[in-house]
Amino acid sequence: MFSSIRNISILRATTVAAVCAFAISIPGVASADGLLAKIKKDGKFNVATEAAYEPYEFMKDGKIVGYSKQILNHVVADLGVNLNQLDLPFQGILPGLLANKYDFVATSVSINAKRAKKYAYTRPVGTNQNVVLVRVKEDRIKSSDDLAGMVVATQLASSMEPVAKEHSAKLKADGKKGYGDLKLFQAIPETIVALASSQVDAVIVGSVQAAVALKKRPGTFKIVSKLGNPRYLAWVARPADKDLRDYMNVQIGKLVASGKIAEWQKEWFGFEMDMPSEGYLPEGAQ
Amino acid sequence: MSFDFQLIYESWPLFVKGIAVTIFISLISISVSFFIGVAVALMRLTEKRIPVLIAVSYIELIRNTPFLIQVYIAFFVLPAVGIRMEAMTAGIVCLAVYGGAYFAENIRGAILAIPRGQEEAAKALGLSYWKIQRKVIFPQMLGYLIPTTTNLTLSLIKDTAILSVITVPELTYMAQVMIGEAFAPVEGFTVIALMYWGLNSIVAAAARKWEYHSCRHLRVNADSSEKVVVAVLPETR
Amino acid sequence: MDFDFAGITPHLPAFVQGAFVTLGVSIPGALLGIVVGLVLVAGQRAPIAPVRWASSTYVSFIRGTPLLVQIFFVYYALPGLFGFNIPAYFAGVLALCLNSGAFVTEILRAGLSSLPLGQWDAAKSVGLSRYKTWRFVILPQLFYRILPPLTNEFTMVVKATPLLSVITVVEITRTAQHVMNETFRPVEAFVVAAIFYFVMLFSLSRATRKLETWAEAYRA
Repeated sequence: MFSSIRNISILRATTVAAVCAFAISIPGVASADGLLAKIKKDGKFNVATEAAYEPYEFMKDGKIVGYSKQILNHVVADLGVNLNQLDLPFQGILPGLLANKYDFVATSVSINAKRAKKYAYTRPVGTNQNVVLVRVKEDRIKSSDDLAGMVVATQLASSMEPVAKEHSAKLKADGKKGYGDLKLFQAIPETIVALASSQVDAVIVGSVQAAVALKKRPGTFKIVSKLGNPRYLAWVARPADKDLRDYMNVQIGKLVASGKIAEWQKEWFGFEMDMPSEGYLPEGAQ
Repeated sequence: MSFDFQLIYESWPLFVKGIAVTIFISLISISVSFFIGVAVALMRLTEKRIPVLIAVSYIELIRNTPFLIQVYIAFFVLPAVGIRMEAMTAGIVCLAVYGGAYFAENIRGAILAIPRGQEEAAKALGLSYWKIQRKVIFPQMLGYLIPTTTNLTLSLIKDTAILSVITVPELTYMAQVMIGEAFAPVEGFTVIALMYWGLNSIVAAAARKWEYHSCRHLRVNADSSEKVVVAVLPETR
Repeated sequence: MDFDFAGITPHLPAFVQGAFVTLGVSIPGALLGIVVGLVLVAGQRAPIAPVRWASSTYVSFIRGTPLLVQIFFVYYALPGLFGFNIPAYFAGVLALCLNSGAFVTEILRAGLSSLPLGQWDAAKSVGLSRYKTWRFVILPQLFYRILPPLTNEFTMVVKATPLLSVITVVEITRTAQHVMNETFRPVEAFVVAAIFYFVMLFSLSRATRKLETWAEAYRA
């Protein structure tokens, strides 16, 4: 009789212990669902970048460097994990994020309404103003209206592609011709090289890339005009990973408050940029 | 997994434009490269030093560098030495120059494959030079030329895809534009793969008919159902 | 237009590394391609009709579509279809071996049919088992016949590696693009790349020709 009572007690004790252990582990399980916690646990942060956007992120001597990389290094140090940074073509980088190929996209992505619905932007790391870049001896193009009938190049699947297409359509609607041809290259430096070798008449790039081109090949190019409104550039997370996105925002906020961002911007761009902490996302954003 | 047929239907005009450009480029470059090949093969076969040197250098240089590198050089490097070509022109020229080197080797092989005796016998019979070439040499060359030319043509048609990197608006470029907007790589690449496969199958079938027709004199059994087996290796991807 | 070939010398180590990556994709790609080719040749002779049909269709498809499209497909579309992720290097090797395999099939098939039928009959009449026939009669003779075409096929694989630059495998061509992006000097970058390729491919084609004459001596 005693043995059976003891067995029941043991059974009860074991059950209670098991339930307690399970209950204690539930918060642990719940928090492990978040991507941020998973990254911390795995010790590895998989990030995708298109390292062809100087000086935000670009290749130098086989390594990815730049203003964004500096911010990313700081964040990773704070997380205390290893960074696995992939250099990928821009065309697949955002869809690859949704396909779970990596955890996060740390590359300069323009904020526009269409993307804001599908992806979770961080707060901006910089601003971009599209400009029209031509060869220094070019006399036919003095303003963006002169692009009618010209061969224009920009980056495939970038935010500049729809800007270019809209501008061409607007020229046509105004009674002029649209662009003679819109050539879409995989990366921005290719468009600039094509411009230098007279394959195209003008390229539409960000003002910062144009400045880099002017610096690297002095006396070759000139900026003709702006095109469209300035946009903010931010990093991107999946809509489901708001914890990671919010963490990034906190980190960027800390860097802004400590003045580090201003210092780095002066170093890489030569000027400071507007760094809003709110009001930068369009309607219906994630 | 769902296949977005609606997207394919909407993008169809893009693909049609693309394959039209592919066919256009193929037709022009392959024809030009054939003539380049004949010229270079004849140069190679003369016994004089300078033509042989030029021919061999051309063939070795083109055959030992990848096509993509040649395309990049034509598009990005040649302008620096004053030769500027628009993307489509650069594409056609590149493909013609590339194909020419391979055609040269094929044609040289075909010419060398004809036994000397044929030419001597024809001469002994009193036929003129051109009659010999047209009636004796050339028909025999066809038996060797058609399979190798077909292989090379199919390879060159496939190589037009590489021109997409310098924004020539052929089929692969169109697919990339469509995928860049809609991000549907499965649909995009499947459709163009099938289109290339279809195009190449048609060309291969036409070539087989032509070979059947012009090699009547070579067939062993008139009613044999065996295809003419030629163990010739394809020259390029 | 000014050329700055001296300015390219600091980038030469990057090109050498690119050359190693080129070999690092070509060699596995070609070797696995031989495996794929063996499977396909066996498939083409299988007693089951659907297997024969599948093998022939596969070979026809690979030979009828551009390698560039196949590379894009393996890197972008396959993960979409099957839900797994594949890094660029492995996608490159996979695309190369799947492509090369279809061409190796033809080499193996041609090699096998070039063996006199009498070999098979003689082996049977002497009483050799299937395994012994393959091991002691067929394969030794086959080896010398297929070695030169297989080396040629390896050359084709190396020649195809520049296409992997579009999926960012950092081989010679991608290195040249990086250098071009960094310096805005395409001439220097691509001429250096062309020289690297020429040296590699010319050596390989010479080796193939030497192999051909060497193999001739051993053929019955």
